[in-house]
Amino acid sequence: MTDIAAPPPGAVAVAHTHRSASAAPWRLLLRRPTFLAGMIILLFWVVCAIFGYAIAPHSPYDQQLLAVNHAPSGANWFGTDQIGRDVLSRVIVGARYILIVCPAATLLGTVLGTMLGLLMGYVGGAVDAVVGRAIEAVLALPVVIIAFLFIVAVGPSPLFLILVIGFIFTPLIARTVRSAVQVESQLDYLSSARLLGEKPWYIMFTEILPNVTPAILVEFTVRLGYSIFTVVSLSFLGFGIQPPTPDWGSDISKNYVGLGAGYWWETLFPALAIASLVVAINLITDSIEQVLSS
Amino acid sequence: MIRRHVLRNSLLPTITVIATQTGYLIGGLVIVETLFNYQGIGNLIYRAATAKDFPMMEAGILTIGVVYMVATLFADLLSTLLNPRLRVGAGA
Repeated sequence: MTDIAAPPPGAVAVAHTHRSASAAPWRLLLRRPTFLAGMIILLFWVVCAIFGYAIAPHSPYDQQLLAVNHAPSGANWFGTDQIGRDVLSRVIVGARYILIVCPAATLLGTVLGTMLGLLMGYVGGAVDAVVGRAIEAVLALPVVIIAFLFIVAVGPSPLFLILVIGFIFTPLIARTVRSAVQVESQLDYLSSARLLGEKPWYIMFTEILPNVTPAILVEFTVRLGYSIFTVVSLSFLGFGIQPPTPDWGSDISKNYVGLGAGYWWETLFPALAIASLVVAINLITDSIEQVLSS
Repeated sequence: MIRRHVLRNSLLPTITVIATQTGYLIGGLVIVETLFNYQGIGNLIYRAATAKDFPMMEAGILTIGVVYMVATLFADLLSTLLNPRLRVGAGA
């Protein structure tokens, strides 16, 4: 009786190694200064996005018409813009829009791209050839141009922007996932799964997917960096969120004419915000990539 | 020796990257041309898009597509020239 109740020694060992193997990458990541630096900057912007209106020293909409184009000072740390709005408050609140649209769009693209990539890589043959050609056709056009064509046709709205950028990133991600799946398909464990008579769907999602997850994770962070760039470009061109809602891209496009007159703070601070966010994401991407490949 | 053997092989990935970056470059073109009000194809497409001038947009995008296609074709031809192993068919 006691023999049955006691767990077999082998099972304990297996469970233990499994747990430490899954925890190890996180510990390695937390030891990397690049990852921590990226995370700190990202968390700063996340806090700004969530509590933006509470943190901002002034209302981002308040126009102080007697204090137009004021240089950075004690009252307005980042100065004021053409119609006297506080630049610091607009930069802080502007984080919200970017940090909603970009991760949502990238997530949509990653989910769709992963499914498409798994299908292409595993099924192969005619499906791979047809979808592959379609993907190449999409890749021939610049992302920004495709995105603004769609938005011109339907009209700018955050939800539509998420959908458009998600769909544009789908083929790019599908291509990466496909090549990762093709490498996996040649390995022995898949032949044994096929010999066991498993269904293709089961093989794709429970056998291959966990093994290509690292590649998908890296691709997700890389695309997140690109999506920030795309969203900011679009809002610079006027296809993003509409004024007067604070947004880094549209704030730059409204204020860059003032650069010639020496009002550098109206453009510099939103631009620095964009740059710091992209740098943070790239630092995180680099450290994840290094941890996974080591 | 360096020019014949090293340059030849190290150019291969560079050429591929240059060709595929052409598309990305034209995306940047739209921003730069709008920013500096420069009369180019990027600005043309942007203004056509904002004015909903669909034939103009189609023409611009077709042109970009052709430029990209020629760039990748050129890259493919160059890489077969530099790497004889890629040649197939009668010429091989």
